Amino acid sequence: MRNPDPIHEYHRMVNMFLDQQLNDEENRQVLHQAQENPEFQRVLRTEQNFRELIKKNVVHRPQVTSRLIDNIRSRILKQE
Amino acid sequence: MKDFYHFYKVNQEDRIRYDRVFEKELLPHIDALSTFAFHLTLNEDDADDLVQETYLKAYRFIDKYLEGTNAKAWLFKILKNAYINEYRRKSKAPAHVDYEDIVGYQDSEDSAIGEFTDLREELFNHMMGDEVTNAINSLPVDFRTVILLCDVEGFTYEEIAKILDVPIGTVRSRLFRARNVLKDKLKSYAETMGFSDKRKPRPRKME
Repeated sequence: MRNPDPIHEYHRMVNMFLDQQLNDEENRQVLHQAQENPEFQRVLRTEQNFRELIKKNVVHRPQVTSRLIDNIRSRILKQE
Repeated sequence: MKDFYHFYKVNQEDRIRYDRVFEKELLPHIDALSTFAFHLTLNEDDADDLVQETYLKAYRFIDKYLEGTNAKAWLFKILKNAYINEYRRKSKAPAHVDYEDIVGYQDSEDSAIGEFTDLREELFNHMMGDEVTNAINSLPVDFRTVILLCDVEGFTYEEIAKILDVPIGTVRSRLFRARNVLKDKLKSYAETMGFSDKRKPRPRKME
């Protein structure tokens, strides 16, 4: 049974939308809702910002060194 | 060891093909694996060891990999298994996730029971990078993992389910829970900085 709270339902739909779990028709509905419903639009914007915040702040290690790659290759050769 | 020797009895033609697949399809994902490994181990040296271990295992079982398929997901699955097998055993154990809690949320996303944290969007402007990073790294490893796989690496629920060996419903509920925990942490941080949510709490509808 779906949650009767519309905000909860907006979050559910928005999460599924952003996680690319909806079909084409459902995606269209989300985009339509976002245009017509300011509260839905707010939830969509908030969730998008939240994900961008995560992406931006997850520490990406600098490019792996050629030394590590060479180590892997040489260990494979040794195993052979 | 039996598998090991089985693999190394392959003929020269196969060996050349395996080397090509390794270089062209597996090695290009090393940076993503390195970042993922670091966020699992939270230690540079352990992360490098884990990446090495992953590639050695991948090469050893390369005959099981179907050329042109999802190499990245395959490697992430090997890395995750290597992490569980090697690193959890060594008392460098990550924070424990209360699975009762997760089970409790299993149906909550699709049902009427679930609670969620609704961040005020203005708060995002005041978030400092370090605090966000710390909040992500302080999540229990199972929560951190789904967020990294989904929000950073862009894997689908189906791919994450295969990588983690869990049902898709568990991926969905774990993500839901993980994002809520992260939002709670960020909200607490924002409040300590004086950016509290002045909105009236929304009444929770009860079934």
